[in-house]
Amino acid sequence: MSGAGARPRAALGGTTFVALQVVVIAAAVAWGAHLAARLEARRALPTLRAEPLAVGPLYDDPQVISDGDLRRVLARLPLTGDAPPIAQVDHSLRLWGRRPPFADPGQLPSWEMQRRLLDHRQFVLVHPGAQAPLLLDDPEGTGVGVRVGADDGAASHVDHTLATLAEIGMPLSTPVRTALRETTAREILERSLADFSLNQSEVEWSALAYALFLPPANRWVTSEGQEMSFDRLSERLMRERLPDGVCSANHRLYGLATFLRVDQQMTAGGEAPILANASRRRIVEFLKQATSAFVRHQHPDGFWNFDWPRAAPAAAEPTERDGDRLSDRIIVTGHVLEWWALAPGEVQPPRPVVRAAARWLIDRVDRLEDADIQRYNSFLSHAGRALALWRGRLPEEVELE
Amino acid sequence: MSSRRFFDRRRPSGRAPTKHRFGPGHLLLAVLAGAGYLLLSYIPLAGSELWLNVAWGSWILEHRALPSADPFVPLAAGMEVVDGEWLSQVILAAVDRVAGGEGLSLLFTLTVLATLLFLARACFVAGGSLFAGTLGALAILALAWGRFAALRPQSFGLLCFTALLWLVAANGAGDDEEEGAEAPKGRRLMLGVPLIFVLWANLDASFAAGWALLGCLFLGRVIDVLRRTRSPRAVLADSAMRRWLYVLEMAVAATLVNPYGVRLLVATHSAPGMDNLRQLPDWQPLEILGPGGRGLALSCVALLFLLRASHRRLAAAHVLLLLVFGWVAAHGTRFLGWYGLVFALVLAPHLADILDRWQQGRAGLWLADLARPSKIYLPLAIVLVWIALIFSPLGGAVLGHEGRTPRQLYGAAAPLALAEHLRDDPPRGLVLAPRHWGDWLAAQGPPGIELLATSGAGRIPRRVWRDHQRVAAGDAVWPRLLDRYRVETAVVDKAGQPNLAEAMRRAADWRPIYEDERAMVLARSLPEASPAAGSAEEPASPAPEAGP
Repeated sequence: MSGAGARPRAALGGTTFVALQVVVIAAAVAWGAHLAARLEARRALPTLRAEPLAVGPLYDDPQVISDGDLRRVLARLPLTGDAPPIAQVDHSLRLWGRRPPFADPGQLPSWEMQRRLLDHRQFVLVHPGAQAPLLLDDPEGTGVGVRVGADDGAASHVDHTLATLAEIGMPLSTPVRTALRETTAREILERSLADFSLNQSEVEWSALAYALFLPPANRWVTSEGQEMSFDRLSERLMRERLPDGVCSANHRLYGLATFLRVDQQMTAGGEAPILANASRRRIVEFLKQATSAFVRHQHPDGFWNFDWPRAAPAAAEPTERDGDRLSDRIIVTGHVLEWWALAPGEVQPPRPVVRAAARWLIDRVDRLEDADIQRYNSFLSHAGRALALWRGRLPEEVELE
Repeated sequence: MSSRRFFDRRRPSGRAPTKHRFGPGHLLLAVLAGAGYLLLSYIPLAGSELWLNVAWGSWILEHRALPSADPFVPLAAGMEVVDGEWLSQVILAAVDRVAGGEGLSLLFTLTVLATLLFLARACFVAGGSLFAGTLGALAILALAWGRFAALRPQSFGLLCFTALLWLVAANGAGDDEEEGAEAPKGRRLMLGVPLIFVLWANLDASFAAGWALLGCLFLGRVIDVLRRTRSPRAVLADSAMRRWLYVLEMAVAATLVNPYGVRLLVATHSAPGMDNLRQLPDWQPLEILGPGGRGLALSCVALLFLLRASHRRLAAAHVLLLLVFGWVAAHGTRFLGWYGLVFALVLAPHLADILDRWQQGRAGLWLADLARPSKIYLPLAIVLVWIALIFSPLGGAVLGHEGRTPRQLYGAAAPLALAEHLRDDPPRGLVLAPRHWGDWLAAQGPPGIELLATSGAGRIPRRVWRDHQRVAAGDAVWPRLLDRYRVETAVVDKAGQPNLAEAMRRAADWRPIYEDERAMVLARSLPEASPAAGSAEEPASPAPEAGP
């Protein structure tokens, strides 16, 4: 560089230069703030319904189950005992909904089941030895989680409790008390949405809860940065081969049937559907194929086991083989009746198939000891709900003997 | 005060310059360039990143559009794609289409050579010494060879960075101009910087390194003026400070000239996929005892010794550059190359100063005598470069020699036979493959191949990425994970994935359909997933009963 000379004068005066820079930087900051707001909006959780959609039964067939049989079967199913596992409480609440207390004080009423799930104080009273709270709370995080595990103090499946609340019509304003604070069920849903990954181990109940709490909202962006929609969720539910998935894939089928019903309801109500036409057609074909397999592989006595996509059960009596135990047969038969009760006509099996399955379930419940009723209560909750749905009502609407 | 140049045109004795311009320094540079060209041209095309980028570039050329989702990973559907490397990908794919692997090899050679020459030029301009410039280029190779050893978009980013270094060095970057000194007008700077950044923003996502460079120069100038004058008013009036600020603002504005606009800036630095990237070795912090850590530590020690011996002042801008780029490099081996380039530029003037003073000693006088320019050096340089060209693959091709074998061109690790088999017998459904092979198969495998994951970690959902790694490592839950993702074909690296290979051989529902010395391919049949509408048989079903 050259040596001394006159002091160089800048083209702009100092004040003008500063003013220009302030303008430039302010414009950049404003643009950045606007961009950040847009990004935040894109990644924000969708608008949620205060009350979940209701997906009710479509059929009322006394030949599937008579009024008397229904009352008798349901009367055997209330949960008893001081501290049944949370997984059973979850299922039983789903079966009985917001039913008034039973006549028998030994049977766990709905309000008590709800308290055990949503009030940490009650949970601790009933499960003092639980390894961790059921409700997971972190005031610095997003929402309230529900612990999933194999112990008595945990839910059995991801978002099962959330889906239960949705199906029994609990609003998001339902009070929730964690170990740290009081809040509402909205935070459980928000936490689920925030943590959701399309490829998490279980998506069945998350998908169900979203179908009932999100519409008309149809799109959101997960924390992984993936845009989610009910079309994408339905592809995920159909992706794995049958019968992979919880309860021999029946929860996947139940979820898909619910999608179809919600889609129909939204369209009938003049709102935007939640499924693209192509997705809807694919779901219908998928459920038809599943129905076709059930029809082909039903045992003459009316039940199925975990082999249902490939073969009919070989023996009339349960065996000890995985997938062919009594509990497995109850699981499959109860679940399939349940989603068929909600599914539109185009995916229905011949009615005699339904009647035979119902007959088998009624007969089994009649023959079970009380202890077995309690042991298989979670599985039987689906059977009981299915039988009520086939009479066009929910179990909480049935007068018990 | 400018330092006298080693191998300067002017003789140290002060005699009038000779008419010849080429000295031994230029010959040395020519020898190094020729040798470098020859060595680089024989390096196999390693690094899976290259092939993934070739695959993306081919997709772009074929569809004449930028992808809105990862074209090779269907599970990435819905992930926002901001492809900040599209121009690099198009260049790579176009070269591959026109000239194949040899074309890519030539591109790699020329890119790295140009980067080193730009760096050498920048160091020469900064230090005034050809020898310092050459040494700077060699130092970067020693420090961060790994960053240069493979052709990828970052190679073009490094090239842009060294071009920027040259520009800023030519405009007195870091020079602590004396009060009253006139700042260079910097027209080339004002025109060159926006041009570089427009290209850079479309070639590679590393343009923030350029911002950091300019930002350090700006702040360094502020510090220097403030320290000298103790007057904020003087800082505001300083034309060099204003020049660097304008240049920085132009650089930022220029990066907006890309297909995504400002989204590119956001996505580059805050995408959800960053979590995946941080698990890659390239993005791991340096370990002090690891190769990168040792290099960084040694560079610090070397710098301390040189600064101690040098009589030149260390400008504030240079301090900032070392701190900023050193800190970034310490947090990711991927950034070591940038630090190395900055280190060479900072080192150059001090090295030149030391050499200058040594030159004035007796040994220096003897060498200076020996280093007279002469008419012999230019033709000698031309001959040596010509020899290098002759012996290179390009020269061989021109002379009609047989080219390299695929194994020599692509490296021993490239699964050539595997790709050929899969082209002849395309796989069904989703394909599991190790990351490095997935990239290769995306470029060289059958058209339309669908992979569970590639090395494009930033574009894949976090869970998919982690599950892919678990399966690749042979985790015991691999069957459940492959079921969840509905993988129907598995490509296994027998040497790199012995656990998985053994487990899959024993699995009942997987049957081997291909095997060679490196790879094994297994397949299974799964029923149709989500059927096309109207394709299923109709179950016999009477009309539903009346509802409630």
